[in-house]
Amino acid sequence: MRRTADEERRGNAPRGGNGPTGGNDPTGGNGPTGGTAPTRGAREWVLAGARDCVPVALSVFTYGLVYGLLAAQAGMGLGEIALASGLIFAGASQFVALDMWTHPLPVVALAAMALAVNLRLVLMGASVQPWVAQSAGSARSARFGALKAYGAAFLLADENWALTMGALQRGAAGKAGGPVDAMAYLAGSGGLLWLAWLSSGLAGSVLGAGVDPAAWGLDFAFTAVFLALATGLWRGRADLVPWVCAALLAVLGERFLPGKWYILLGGLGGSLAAALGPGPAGRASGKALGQAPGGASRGGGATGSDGSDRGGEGGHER
Amino acid sequence: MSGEFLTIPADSWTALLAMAGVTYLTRVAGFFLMGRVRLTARVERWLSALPGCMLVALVAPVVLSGGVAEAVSGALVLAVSWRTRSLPAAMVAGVASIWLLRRLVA
Repeated sequence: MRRTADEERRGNAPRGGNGPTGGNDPTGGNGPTGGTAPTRGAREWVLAGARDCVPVALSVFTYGLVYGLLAAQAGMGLGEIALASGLIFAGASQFVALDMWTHPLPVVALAAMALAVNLRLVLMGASVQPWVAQSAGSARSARFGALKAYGAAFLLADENWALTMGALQRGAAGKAGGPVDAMAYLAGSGGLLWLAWLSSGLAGSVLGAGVDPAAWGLDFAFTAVFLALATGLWRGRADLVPWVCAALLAVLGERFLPGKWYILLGGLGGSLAAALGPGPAGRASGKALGQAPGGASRGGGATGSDGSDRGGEGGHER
Repeated sequence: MSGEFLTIPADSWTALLAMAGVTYLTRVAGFFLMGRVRLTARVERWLSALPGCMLVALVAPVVLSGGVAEAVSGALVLAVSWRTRSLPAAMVAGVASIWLLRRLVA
């Protein structure tokens, strides 16, 4: 049965996908090589994803320890950390939330911040979408397929997005041992990341308990983490003007606005400057989002130059 | 003790669920909705510049108007992170530097 589904999957390959799919043309893998290569089932692709993700999960674990320590320092209990890491599962936004974590919590500002920081996931999801739609559509029960896809979407993060794009590319080159089941691979690698992120957050909070932050300069750890994350996001000269705008607006906003609104002011102002300014040379306009934004054709682990593979748990130690 | 740690205040529930909700929305939007939508280069530039600018906005007031110790430590963090690409290393450098500098100033 599984085999049948896989064969069907191959048949339903998104030929040409959404227009110019660049180096990731899925027809490459499912055409000439697809017929002869041994076909793997979805379960095997889940395991393959998890296996490929082990080194990345280890670095996410270190990063999660830091998160747990800082979360405890911000006054979050174990239950709250479990809820945050288990349900939000997006490092950068969770870190930023710690800086805003003063009761009564600014719920609207927190949600707006999470939306802004995680909007990059829209681009990442869109870039794997043709393959995921394919695996969902070929499942025997369409409803079950959709359910699985919604589950896999929950596990989408910077790291396993990059791994999955890499696997798809190896698949397209006929080096992955058959056509890659993107949804299964994403779920397998994402599941491992989820476990690493959740467990390390809890461990970090326990390890960091009882430490007086200010006495050890740990109050600066927030700032240090954000600065380090920012260097991981630096893409070159094109970022200079937006980042300077963001910094100036934030400094002004912090002086004249209540609460933490300066973060959104600077973030939105800087990014709008990036949008309104001249685009990087050689960049075609009006691309289909289905096309991998920038970094995708460079394979797994490579950091996209284009903002798709950024922030969060992943900017470091790849 | 542990029971107290496990208790989740009402506003934390609201905030965490709201954050989880919008985050999931961003994941699902790309998966299910955006395949057919064409983004202009401008919108794509905006989306991809957003996370970096948010981080810069977050740290700018502390580093730029927080004092000498903060500014110097911030620069050190940038240098270490740039060279090592390791988040823990950058954090340790920053914390050690601020600890030392505050001690020297005080």
